Amino acid sequence: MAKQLFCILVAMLATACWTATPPPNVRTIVLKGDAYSRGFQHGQAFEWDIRSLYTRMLTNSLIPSLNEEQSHITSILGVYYEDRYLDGHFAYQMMLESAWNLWNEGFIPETYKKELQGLADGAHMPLDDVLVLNTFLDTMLAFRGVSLFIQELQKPRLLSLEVLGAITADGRDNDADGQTDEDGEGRLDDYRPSPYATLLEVPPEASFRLVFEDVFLGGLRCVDLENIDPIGEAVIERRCVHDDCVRPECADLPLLPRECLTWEPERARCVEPKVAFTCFDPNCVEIIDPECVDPRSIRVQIDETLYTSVDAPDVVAPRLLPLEEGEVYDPQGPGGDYPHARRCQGKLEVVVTPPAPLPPASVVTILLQAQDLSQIYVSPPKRARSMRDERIVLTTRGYAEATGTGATLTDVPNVGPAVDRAMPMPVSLALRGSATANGAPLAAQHFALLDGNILHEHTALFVQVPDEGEGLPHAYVGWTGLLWGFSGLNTAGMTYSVIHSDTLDNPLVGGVVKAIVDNLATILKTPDLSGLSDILGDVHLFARNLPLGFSGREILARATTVDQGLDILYHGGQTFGWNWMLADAEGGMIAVETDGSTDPRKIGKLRQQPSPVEEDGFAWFGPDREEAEALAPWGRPWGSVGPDDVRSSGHFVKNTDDAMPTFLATFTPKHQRFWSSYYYRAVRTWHRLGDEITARYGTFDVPTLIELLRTPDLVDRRDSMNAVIFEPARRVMHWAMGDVPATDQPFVELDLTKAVEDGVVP
Amino acid sequence: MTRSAHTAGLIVVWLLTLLVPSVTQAGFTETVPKHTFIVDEAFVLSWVHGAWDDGSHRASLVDAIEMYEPGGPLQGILTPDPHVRQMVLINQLQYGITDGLTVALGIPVVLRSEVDPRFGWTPGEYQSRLGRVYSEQDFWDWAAGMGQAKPGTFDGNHGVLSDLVVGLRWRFSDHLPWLGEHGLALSLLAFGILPTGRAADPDEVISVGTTLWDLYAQGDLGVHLGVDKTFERELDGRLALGLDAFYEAFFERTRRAPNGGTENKLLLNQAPYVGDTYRVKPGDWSGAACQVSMVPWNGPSRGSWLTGGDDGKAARMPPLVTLSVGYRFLHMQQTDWSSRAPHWDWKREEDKRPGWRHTLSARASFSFLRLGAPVQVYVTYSNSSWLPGKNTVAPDMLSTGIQVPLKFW
Repeated sequence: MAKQLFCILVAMLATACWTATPPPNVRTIVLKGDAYSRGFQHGQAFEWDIRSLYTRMLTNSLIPSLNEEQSHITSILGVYYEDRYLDGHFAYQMMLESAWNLWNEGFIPETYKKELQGLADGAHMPLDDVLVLNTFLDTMLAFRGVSLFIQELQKPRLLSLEVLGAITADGRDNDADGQTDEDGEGRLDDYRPSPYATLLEVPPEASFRLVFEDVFLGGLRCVDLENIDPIGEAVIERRCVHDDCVRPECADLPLLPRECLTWEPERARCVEPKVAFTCFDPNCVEIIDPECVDPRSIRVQIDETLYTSVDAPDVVAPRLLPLEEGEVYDPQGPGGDYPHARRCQGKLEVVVTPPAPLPPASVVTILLQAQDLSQIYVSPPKRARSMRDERIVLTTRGYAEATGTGATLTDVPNVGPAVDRAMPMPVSLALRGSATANGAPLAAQHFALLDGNILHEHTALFVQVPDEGEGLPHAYVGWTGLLWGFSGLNTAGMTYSVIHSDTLDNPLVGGVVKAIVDNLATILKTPDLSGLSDILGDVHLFARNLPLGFSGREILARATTVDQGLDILYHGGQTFGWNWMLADAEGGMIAVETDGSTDPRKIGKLRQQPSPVEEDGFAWFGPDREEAEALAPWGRPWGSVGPDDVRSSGHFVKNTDDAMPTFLATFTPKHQRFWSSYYYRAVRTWHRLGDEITARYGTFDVPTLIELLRTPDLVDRRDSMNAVIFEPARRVMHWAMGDVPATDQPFVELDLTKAVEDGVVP
Repeated sequence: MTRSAHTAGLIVVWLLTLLVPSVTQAGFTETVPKHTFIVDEAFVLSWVHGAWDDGSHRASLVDAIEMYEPGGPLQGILTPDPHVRQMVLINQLQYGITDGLTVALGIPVVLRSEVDPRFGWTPGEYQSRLGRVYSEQDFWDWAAGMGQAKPGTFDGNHGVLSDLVVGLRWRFSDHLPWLGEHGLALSLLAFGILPTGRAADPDEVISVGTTLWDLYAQGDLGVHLGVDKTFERELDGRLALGLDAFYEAFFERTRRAPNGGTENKLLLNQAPYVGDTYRVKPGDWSGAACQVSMVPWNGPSRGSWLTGGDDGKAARMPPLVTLSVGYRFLHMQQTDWSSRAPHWDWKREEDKRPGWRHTLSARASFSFLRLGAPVQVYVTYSNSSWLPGKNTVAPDMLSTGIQVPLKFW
């Protein structure tokens, strides 16, 4: 008894002083053997971490978020109204089908199929889940692009920008077109976003005239506030209203001969867009997209000062433009005689008169935003449609003389105001020779996309040692349950890093466009394009081509030089827009910009060359390019500040015409810079990165690179995921992860050759 | 009055006449006279409005959550500030085996538990996607769109049994007369629980259990060493000092991991990576307490049916009014969660790191035995939110109770 009491007492005392500590966020593992074995070891070692990542990131976070996008998609692709996509299953089902399409169509190489199977078996998880986990990014980013594009179609946009004042008589070539003070100088009738300045040497006393429009896509959209449709939203498919929303006097109006996709089709009626609004009971019908820019929503920020049309009507003065010559107001036309129609049918002009002259000899940033009068109930909270913050940069008179630069638009980067609320985008860079302290090559990346307070707890460093003949040993930083990462190094000294770059030239959009193009004759037979919905009713959103992660693994397994890496990317095809950075032990370095290349007119004709060539959706640049290809049209290197560096971020520098041209009018996919919410963030980050490289040119070593990666303007403090620095010639990488931002963590060195030899990560 | 009722009343009177004076003594060494029962019914109202964090600063029971648009500006800060209120009925039965050895059974019943989450919202920055700053309603509309409704007030545990407690107190100083000569009394108290309480519902965002651990009441097994010093000669017994040192241990318990049920799939879908069950070992408690009891007024006394008309016996009954003030220091060891997910464990362990709590209390007791009424009532107030603690909630409590002594032989 006394002995037992003594043991209890010892146990009590032993635990009395114990304090819990946080578990490690970073794991390391060496995986050896054939593909299946390595996958099995991975799954077995991290079974519960993988479940944690899957449940927290996908099940509890991303999937519910993506489900919100269902209504945007179903308005175009009716198949996603089928039962198996309802009740919260849309996102998972879509990603699963897309993943299996990649598997069944042979886009995933056999070796990774085995590794995936091994991972599933080792972790005791269904192959479905493991497959979705390893391919969701390819599908999700492309899908996000599709959804954003559909939303973008219905948002206000800036049509034109004009500088008012003495700009046509100031003796300067303000639009850098080679002419001075010509008619229309200072007026941009077809506004295009730019990574550089839009106008130069603008008079400080200038005011601005902006014209916005909101596109009407056709059809009556109505909301039945008393009923919820099968996907859980208070939105009815356009042009469908309930019986009890139609006034008796309008009951005999002609109906469109097609089925309305609601949960009670027998109660629904389809009406022509031209049916007057007065035919509907306003208590249950509400216009949600009335082709109207809201004049009260205009926000103009000039450098750091914000003006709104409500708070500063003398600074920001909107007015509805009269209909253009030749246009006649048509009460039966789009918009009809809706109560607001006479108020806003047309374009909105906004004259911005700064209360004080603009600072002379300066770079001035103008940020614009406008909303329309829609009431969007899907993806609450309820809101109007907001255009993307549009960022325009110009210089004021005297800038060129004062600074010695600014003679051309590309002299002035579009980086925005000094303080930017948005987080920077990821960065990749490679350096060598005259850029580094000892001439040896270096490469680095700081990747950020989404942490959600989840990812940083699941990080891992993987060292893969395949069996003889199955590829080169390599290492990458990633997450438990994923067979890949966004960067890596192999024992030949080959490195890669990759950043997402929004594009609508991706296989998901490509599938839609192909269906349209293949059936164009049928679609055009119906004047109201109602055949379009029939054609699109069977289109699925499937990813195609070599998934991102396995592209990276293939580079690590098979490439020893940047040329070989380039070849793998060229022949593998892409699932989305990706900006790659390749660097090898000999100092080779290139940035590669790729997209899905889904132009239906070019299918079967692209990526057919034995060696990579620049073609639709495939471009590269770097200090090793032939001189003729090394420079942009404005005479400077595409992505270098000197002779021995190259950088990239999350936008296309060279592959700027990424969307294939089509003739779908309003529905034509736009180039990245017109719609991507990442665009201006990436432009700013890319320019700032160039500044930081310039400032340290010739001194780069690992500590200096760490310092650069920790530059506050380059650190996403909320969604940073990992940071790596490669020394290709030494086969060494330095990694930081496991916290947000990753760069706050110490960089840990991995000697890959030694790790492979020893079979353990020190 | 019927014959049988009259007989019953006579029996009760007879039983009460067997009561000895000083049916209770003050302090940590209190026992029940031999062959005497005490029925004690107490109503306890406790409330918790905050906690003490690791830096001994006052904090909310739940940390604030910053919400951001992915890659974008701050949406706002969700600041839950829950207020918890519990009403418990404590039924106790004590029996004096000997004058110095008492056994007790406690049956706490939770009458009601209320938790008001009191969500607050601090708006963040302008959101381009929204065209305005996120309001609190916007935030909850968004959460509802994702399938997570705003958690409401919890009002439950109506009449739910807590853990039963069985205790034994032995005033061993009765066998050491020289201690008594110096006005000292020492006792050992040991207790254990029967786990009849209910754990909080893991699938509810807001839920309160009824185990004694959930109620911040006591351990599963405990030992107390009590010391009382009375001043009979010097102050006519009007002052008593008490000290208590204790150790209370908790046993590991297995609980079901949350799976969100049907209402809270987003917030509480954790079983897939935590495991179907997990174990939690609450950190043991230890500490010490002191108490000062004063008799400001003995009160009149008169012989009654309780004393067989004996005025002298009545004068030796407990005083009419006794006031006590006390202080207790409680140290809590680390609570340990063990599941398949170390990060999930840590998020819970972080709030239950070693800490301490200071509790001040005051009690007023009114004994009517000397006036011929076989009842004693008391009111107690205790406070843990005035003096900074560490890694602990700060419950305050108000209780009132009635004690009825009974003797059958």
